[in-house]
Amino acid sequence: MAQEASSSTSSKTISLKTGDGEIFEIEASAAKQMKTVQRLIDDLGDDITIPLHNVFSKELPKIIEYYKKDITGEITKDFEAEFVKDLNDDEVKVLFLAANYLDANKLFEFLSQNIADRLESKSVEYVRKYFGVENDFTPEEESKLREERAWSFRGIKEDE
Amino acid sequence: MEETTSVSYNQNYSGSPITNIPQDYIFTIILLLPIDAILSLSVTCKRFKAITSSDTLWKSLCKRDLGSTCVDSLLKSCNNFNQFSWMKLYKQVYQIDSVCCHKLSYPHGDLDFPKARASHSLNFVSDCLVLFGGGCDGGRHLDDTWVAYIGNDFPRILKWKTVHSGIPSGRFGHTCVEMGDLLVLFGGINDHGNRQNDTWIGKVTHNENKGITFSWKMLDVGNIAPPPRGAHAACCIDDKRMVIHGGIGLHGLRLGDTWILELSDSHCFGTWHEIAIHPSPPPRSGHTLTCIGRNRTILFGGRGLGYEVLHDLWLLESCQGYMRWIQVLYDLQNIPDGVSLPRVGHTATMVLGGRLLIYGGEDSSRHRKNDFWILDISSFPSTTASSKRVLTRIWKRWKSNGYEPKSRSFHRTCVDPSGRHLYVFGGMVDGLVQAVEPSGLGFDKELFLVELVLQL
Repeated sequence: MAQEASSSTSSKTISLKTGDGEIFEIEASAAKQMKTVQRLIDDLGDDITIPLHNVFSKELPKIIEYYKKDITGEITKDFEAEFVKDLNDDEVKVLFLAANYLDANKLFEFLSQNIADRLESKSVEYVRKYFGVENDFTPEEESKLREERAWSFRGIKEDE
Repeated sequence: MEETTSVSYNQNYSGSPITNIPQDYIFTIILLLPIDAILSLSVTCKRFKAITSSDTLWKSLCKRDLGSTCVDSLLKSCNNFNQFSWMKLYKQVYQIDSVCCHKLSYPHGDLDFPKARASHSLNFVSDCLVLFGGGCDGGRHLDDTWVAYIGNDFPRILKWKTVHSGIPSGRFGHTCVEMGDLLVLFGGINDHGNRQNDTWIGKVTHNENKGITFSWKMLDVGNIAPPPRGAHAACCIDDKRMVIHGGIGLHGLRLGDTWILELSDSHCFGTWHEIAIHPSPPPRSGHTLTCIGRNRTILFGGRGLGYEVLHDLWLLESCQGYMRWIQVLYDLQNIPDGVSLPRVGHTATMVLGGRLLIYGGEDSSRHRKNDFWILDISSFPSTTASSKRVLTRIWKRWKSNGYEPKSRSFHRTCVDPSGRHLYVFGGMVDGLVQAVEPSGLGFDKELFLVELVLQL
């Protein structure tokens, strides 16, 4: 394949293929921020389409959007607020897992904070639902635990 | 990568995959959560209970919420390592709801201690208490500097040493803030009524012959300095900058300006610049500014232009290179005994566990107080979004055991690095202590310690 005339890394793009078979382009300098992708590039070369089995077409564009902003140094608090504004809890979780898989540190930290913000002042039931965990305590065990931990409860926000 | 994993993941976004990620990553989220959320998490299921019970996690939480200096100090004071649990310690700190006061005494026969005064400065720096200036009977100013070595324990007997340097010139109503190992002193009023605007840097020094002593040096700030004033408020924002607000300026006018001093690396030069931002706290004097960590400072109370005693709370924070004032709204009516909250001439000091301890001062009925109020900083807004919320339950009243000090105003306090020991000196008290003021009040020379009691 004929390469683009300028072969400097800044204008070079990498092709990424999601687990459901779609292909997206990303600048090489942005791809560098995702260590898993960089490792695959190192192993497979940057001319090949990089397969990402555990990331899907629903979330990859959002991740690419984040890192596109990152390489121009434009990530601000406002941008981050906008970025997560319309995402529901499940979508944030999916991005969080994808960022973990891609070893995309900055996005991972940002999403960790966002998840923490979403869990603040929520009830135990809400947190259970959020993480998708089953309550494996007996009613007696649970009420004893709640009592022991009551010292910190300030007041629960209405479940949204 | 196994195809089966990716297929099930695709179909089950809101399922258990999040709990299969390594514990370290869950810790990342946990360390960003407030305590009540972490404890909620621990009740969800056995796995999360185990994860959130890790003593290493709670040590990190102690460091996060109490500060590393404090954690180090607590470790040093710990008597019984076998029974020590970071989670239990955290809970104990969280549940403190009282203080214990101790009168400190001087060695028998010692005649060398600071005389009674008010509107002086008292600081804890380099393991020492440092006292400077203030006003005393007859409305006269003082210009003496006193140092007492404290070290790491809390002393029952304290030995003051006076430093004869002649500088800075006598004054009261000045501010003196700790900045690392230094003290930065600004402004004040002398007994001719002259307001000052000079800036001084002070440092504890160890001298072979004299032992511990203290030295002052005037700071070269160039041509720009805030207008002269006294009874303003000041505190350190970070290791290079100090902020001042308001005070009583020339002609007795109450000011409402905000200025930042930035020190050079060598500490020989400084630059003042005014922060003209809106909104900002209205003009006042006798209020307090306290650094609450993470580049944020709190302003509370004071006496305003109409001579009224204020109770508003303002937060000064830097956000993306800009400073801004945010008013923290709270409902005074819903606080038990909230009517006594407006204060002037009180002290506000950060103590163990992220709390602002407000002591003494004068209320709206011109009564001097002897109570301890806690402002719970941890429930403060940290983003613009929540700045319009009216906060409830941020004020708490603490009991005081042990020695009962007199009610006072315009006293001074400072806290040691452990955050558990608050030193209080001087101030104006009721009654004829010195029997000179016609209005029936006197200057006090009492030094006492307010302790946040922990079983270690």
